Parts: sequence; C-alpha cells; structure tokens
Amino acid sequence: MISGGAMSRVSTNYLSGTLQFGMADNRLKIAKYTEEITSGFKVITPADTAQPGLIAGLRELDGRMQSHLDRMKTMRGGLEYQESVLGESENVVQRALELATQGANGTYTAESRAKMAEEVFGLRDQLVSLANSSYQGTYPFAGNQDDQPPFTTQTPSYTNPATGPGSQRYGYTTASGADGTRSAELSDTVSVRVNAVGSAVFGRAIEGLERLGRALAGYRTDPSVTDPSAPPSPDGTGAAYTFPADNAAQASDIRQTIDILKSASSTQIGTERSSLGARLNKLQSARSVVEVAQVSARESLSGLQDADIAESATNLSEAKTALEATMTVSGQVLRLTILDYL
Amino acid sequence: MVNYGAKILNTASGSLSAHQALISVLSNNIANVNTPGYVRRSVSLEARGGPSQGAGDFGHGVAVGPLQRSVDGYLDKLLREAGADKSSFEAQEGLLSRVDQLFDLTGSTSTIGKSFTEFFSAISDLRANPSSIELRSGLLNKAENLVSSIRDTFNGISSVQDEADSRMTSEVAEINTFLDDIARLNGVISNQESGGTIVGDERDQRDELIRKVTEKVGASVIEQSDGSAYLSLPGGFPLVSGTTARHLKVTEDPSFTTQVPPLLSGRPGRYVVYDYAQGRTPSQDVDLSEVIRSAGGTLGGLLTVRGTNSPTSTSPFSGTGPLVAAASRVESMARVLLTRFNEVYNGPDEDNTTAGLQSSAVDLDGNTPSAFGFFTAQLPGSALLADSDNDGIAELGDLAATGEFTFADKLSLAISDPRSIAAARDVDTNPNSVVLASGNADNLVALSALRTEKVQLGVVGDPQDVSVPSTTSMTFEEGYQELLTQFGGTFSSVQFGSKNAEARFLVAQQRRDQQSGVNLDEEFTQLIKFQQAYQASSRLVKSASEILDTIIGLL
Repeated sequence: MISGGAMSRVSTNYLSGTLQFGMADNRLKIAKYTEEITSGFKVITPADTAQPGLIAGLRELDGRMQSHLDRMKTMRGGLEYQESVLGESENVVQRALELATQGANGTYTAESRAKMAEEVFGLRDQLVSLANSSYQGTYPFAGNQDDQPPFTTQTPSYTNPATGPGSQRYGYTTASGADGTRSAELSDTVSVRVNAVGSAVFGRAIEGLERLGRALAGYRTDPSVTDPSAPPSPDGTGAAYTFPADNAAQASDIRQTIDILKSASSTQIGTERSSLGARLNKLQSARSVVEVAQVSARESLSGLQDADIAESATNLSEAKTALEATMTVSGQVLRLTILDYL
Repeated sequence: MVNYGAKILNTASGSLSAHQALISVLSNNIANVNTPGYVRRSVSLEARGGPSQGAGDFGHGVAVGPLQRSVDGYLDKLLREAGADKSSFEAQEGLLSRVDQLFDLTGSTSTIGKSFTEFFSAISDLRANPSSIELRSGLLNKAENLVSSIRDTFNGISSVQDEADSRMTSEVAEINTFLDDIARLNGVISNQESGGTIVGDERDQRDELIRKVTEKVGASVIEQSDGSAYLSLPGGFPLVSGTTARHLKVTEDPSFTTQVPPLLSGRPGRYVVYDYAQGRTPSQDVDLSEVIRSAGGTLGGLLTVRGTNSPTSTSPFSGTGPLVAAASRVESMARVLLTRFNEVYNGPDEDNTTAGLQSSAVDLDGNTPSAFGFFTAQLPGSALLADSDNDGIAELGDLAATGEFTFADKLSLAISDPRSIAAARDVDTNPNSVVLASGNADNLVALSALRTEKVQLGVVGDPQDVSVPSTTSMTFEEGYQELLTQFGGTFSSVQFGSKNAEARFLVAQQRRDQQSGVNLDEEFTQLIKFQQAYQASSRLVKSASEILDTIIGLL
C-alpha cells in the first residue's frame, strides 16, 4: 500500500498508523460485502456503477412491461366478455331465422303466427339486453357514450299496435360520442379497439326481429325495406294487415326479415365477432413480445446489478481473514517495546 | 605544577551537565512521542573550547551544541499539500454522497425515473376505461408521486448546497483563529531566535497550526529570514505576514454587489471575501471565491461542490458545480411538466375565431381545465401559477412573470378530484358548449405520446431569463438517465480522487515521520548510552574529589 522507495527510518507512530489504516480498510470492505449479501445488490446508487443510466433505463422498461401485462389481463377479460355476448346474440338470431322461415310458410294459422310473434318479441328483448350488457360499470357496445345503455325505446313508439311488445320501437342512442370508439395500449407499439358502436353490431338484428315480430303479429312496418344491406330505420308507422287480401304481403314481409336477419348475422354480428377474434390474437402475440422484452431486461439487470452471493461471501470471508490477521499482527507488533528488555 | 585535580573536576562536572542536557532532550522526545506535529529534537556534543595551555593541555571537556529540530521543509510542504487535497476530497465526497442516495437504482424508492414511468403507465391504464373512478384515482396518486419525487430530489440537492454554504462560516471562523495564533507565534519566534537559539516548542506549535490551516484552505508557506512564517493564498494574497494576520470574511452582503445571487433554496449564497477596510465602514470587500476554490482544502472542497456564482447574476442556475448541474436538469423536468404537459392536456383550440386557446379537453362533469390545469406550482403566499398573458396556453413566459427562478421545489397538482381529470376531448367546435362522452379518451391518447416526445430538457435554458427554454431536446427518460450518468461520473471521480489523496497523504506522512517522528527504540537506546556516560562522569567527580582531598590532606 505504501510505496515510495526504501524507508530508512520508521517512527513509532508510523506502525500504529499503518495498522489502524489497514484495519479500517478491512472493516469498510466487510461492511460493503455484508450489505451486498443482505440487499442482494452490488449496485445500489450511481456511485456503484459506470452505467447508472443504463440500469435506470432497464428498470423503467421492466416496470412498463409489467404494467402492459397487467393491463392486458384486464383488457382480455373485457374482450372475451364481448365475444361471449356476441356468441349468444348469434344464437338468438339463428332461432329468429328458424321462426321466420316457418312463419313465411303459408300453412300456419293466424293464432300460430301470433304465438310465434310472442316468442320473436321475447328474442328481441333478449337481444336488446345483450346489446345493453355492461362490463365493470361501462357499456362496451355504446361507443364512447359508455355510461348509458345504448339501446332504448324510442318515441314515438309504433302507433299500431298501440300497446304490447309490438308497440315498442328500439333504437340506438343519438348521444354524441356513441358513434365513436376508443383504443387502448397492449404494448409500446400496439393498441386495439376496446369497445364498439352498438348500432353497427346489433342495429340490423334488432330491427329485423322487430319487423319479424310485427309481421307475424299482423302489422306492417314502414319505411319498408328494399335493400337489406342498408335499411332505413322504422319510423313508427305501419298499419295492420287486412286478411285475406294481405296474406301475400305478409308472407313477403316475413321473407324480407329473413334477408335482414341473415345480413345482420354475417355483416354485423359476424364481422364484429371476427374482429374480436383478431384482437384477442393480437393481444396474445403482444403479450408474448412484452414478456420476452421483460425477461430480457430482467436478465440484463440481474447481470449488471445483482450481487453474486457466492462471490460476495468469498470476498467477505477474505476481508474477515485479513482483518483478523491485521489485528493479530497489531497485537504482537505494537506490544514490542524495548522497555521490556531494559 | 598543573592543577589537574581541578581540571578533572571541571571536565567531569561539564560532562555531567552536558549529559543531563542530552537526557533532558531525550525525555522531551519520549514525552512527546504521541504529540501531533512534534518534531524530534536533538542536541549535538562538541568538544569544549578554551585557551590552549601548552604542552600540558589535554582538552577542556564536552559542551552541548545548539538544539536542532529534525525537520525537512520540503517534506513538510508535501504533507501540507497532501493534507489539503485529502480534506478537499473528503468534504466533496461527504456532500455528494448524500445526493447520490437520491438516485436509488434498485427500484425500492420512488425516484423521479420510477414515478415518471408509473405515471405514464397509469395514463395508459385509464385509456382503456376513462370513466373508471378507481383508475382515475390511481392516476392522481401516481401524479402525486411524480410531483413529490421531483420536489424531494430538488430539495435534497438544495439542502446539501445550503449545508456546504453554512459550513463555510464555521470553517472560516476557525481559520481566522489559527491565523491569529500563527501571527502571535511568529512574533515570539522571531524575538527569541534573534539571539541564535531555536525555539522548538513554539515552532512545533506553529507548524501544527499551519498544517491545520492548510487542511482547511490550501495556503502556501514560506519561512522568512527572521524565522516568521509567511502564509499566502494562490495568486499572492497574504494571510499571515510577520505578526499581522489578515482575516477572511464570509458575508451575504459584500460591498461589490447590491444583491447576492440566490442558492437553489432561495437563500443568499455567501461569499468568502477579504475586507480591505478591516471592519471600518464602508467595507471594501474583494471576492476570494475563485482563489479559494482552486486552493483546495476543506473550504475549497465546499466551494467546489456548492459552486460559485457571478455577483451580477440573479439565478441560482448560473452557478457552477455538480449540485447546480443536477438541480438544473430536475428543474427542466419540472418546467416541461408545467408547460408542455399542460399544453397537451388542454387539447387543441376549440375554434379558430376567439382569441387565445379555448380548451377542448373535458372532464367527467363537462368542465374544461385552466391553462395550468394538471400541474401547477405553489408560489410564495399560496398563489398558484396563472396564465399571465391570458392566451390560454401554459408557457415559460407565464413562469417568468412570477419573478421566481425555481419551480421544481414548488411543483404541485392542480387536481384533487378524480372526476376532474380531463380524459376526453370535446367533439363540437363551439367553445360555449361541451359535448361530453364519458368513454372518450382522446386527451389521454395525446398525453401518452409525451412519454416518447423529445422535449426541451437539456439544462435550464438562459438562467437569467426563465422564459427562454433549453435548446437541447430529449425524452424525459433520456433526460433522467443522462442526469444519473453525469452525476454518477462526477461523484465517481471524486471518490477516486479521495482514495488517491488519502494514499498520497499516508505516503507523505510516512516520509515526514521518517525524518521528524520519534522512535522510542532509538530514544531508549540513546538513553542507556547517555546514562552510562553520566554514571562514568559522576565516578570521575568522585575520583577528582579524592585527588583534591589528598592534596589538601598534604597541606
């Protein structure tokens, strides 16, 4: 430690000074290695490393990746919920199509059709409540106006019939924002839509069910539909059929709803279902990418920052040994005095 | 007949007193073996002179020569210089290690970097469900952590600067006391040594005082021909000249400026000066800051860390030193939050007709935020930051209008109610009406992008003009990482310098001790030698006495 050429003379205090310095130095080392072992870190503050910026950056990356993973768990729950709602909606539409096919068949009596109408309105109500599902306090199918159920009864309701489920006319909210959606982040670079504009998913199906129910119950619905791919919304008018003159008209109206419901199933509900499937896949692959990034960051951090317990323990043992040796030497050397021999 | 009896008696008694003197010197060395700064003394023996008495002259015995101190001026100088370096580095290391603790890298404390990341993660979380009160509360919580971490880091740095500043007063007080004592000893030494003898004790005391002074401020020492020590600072400024000591003064109110530049905490930064008027009014102060900073010693170390500032400046950020550099970066971060973040938070202008920015951001109750709507600063007197030019935009000019220079220590949140977070953007363009969609997160999307936007960090822009931004841009994260790297590098150099200085000090001490230190083995061995000579001389006295008795007996 002390160099600088040959020493020609040593004062009494020099020896004790050197030994004290040696002991203090060893004690510092013991403290340092003990801290490494107890904290698990050999780099704690910028003084301990030449790369504090890198370590801080890796730590922030780790934290950010973790928050992405946590958020993806929540988002996945939401998207899977929407997927299950659409699955059930599909079943509702299929059942309605069966009823519509039967109803278009001219062999059914008016009473039978009235009974089918009842079931169809039941299906309509079920579909509306599916469209108005809420998940964790918000309505995923209400666009960005997600604190209100998206489908409500409109006024004026149908004038014909004046009462009963056939008179209820459902429509999508016109509140501003309901026509917009939002996206949320899966990772630093990928985000996905998390909600939907309900009218683009359920609008046609609900309308189709209403028209079907009304037709089976004996009522027209105006405006009449010419192109099922872009029907104008019912406006609440529609007179009752007069039988037997309107038998063919009734059958034709029922068949039209088959087209509407099929279109609803494939172009609205079906499209949103595939979109959800695609988004869930995106989430899955984003998750893998984020997990890999996190593992890589953690490995680098570990290499840069973690104490190697075995190495620290060895160093600690060496420092202890050195301290013990210094103390032994101090005891022996400092006691040497010529006074014992005089 | 020659009276050899008397001669023998003379010689023997002379030897007795000479050897007594030697033993006395030895005993002084032994007694002072542990005295700091003690220089080993010795006295040489010389054959006593006297008039020659011709053929029967066999010598006149032994006499004691002048007292000598085993001192080497060059080794002493090396030791002083090493001591000054060691003290300077120790002072710097002690202060800087406290700032080092503010930047924990293990993720266990809420550092600026960690709370920044968590804040932006909370923004991303809220994007997924903007009307959730729970997520909004979470965002406010993380925002509060970010504000606290910036304030605490800045205050941590400024309190270290304050401590360095106040320690200067006590160090200078001690220095002045030592200078007075040195001047007094100069007088004693030059008086007593004018007769040709060396005054060992006073010289030892004076050397020790000089060493203590140079540990505190790296002065240089020259011994004058009359034995007095001349102490001066680099550049020739005298501290002790003969019996005159020139006191240093630490003042917040030097005569060369009407307004002292503030420290980071706002307190006035003290100057170390020499007052030519020596207590009479008006003072005629000369700024010694730079001289002392480069001289080293504890005071030099304190000034290096605290930094020095030009007397004409008004901002703490024009000072030098590692504390100001680090605090400057933290301050830039606060200013970016206060300006750019608030600007984005307010959203684009609702319409292009009404003068000023009409905020298009909207909260859960349909309210729009003010210009400093998310982050603000608590000014003295409980006022908050305001849009001074009423243009609806949070700008550096609004910060400058307050007359303050530091905002990192005043940073706070403008929002306390989670419903007041404006996550959405108003969709219509009429500034008089708000169209509110609870699930709209467009404002949060824009805020998210700030995490990776290059903002004006660098260091604080023009320190004298708060309205001038930094010219260097980087992301927040890059800014924080660069702060760590730069501070870490500075601190590491100081630690390295400190270790080297300590090693050099020990070498210098050993070399000086080699020359001037007491070795008990040597002293006791000499003691035996002189004791034997003393015993032999006393036996001689007995023999001489017997001879004389015999002669007298013959009479």
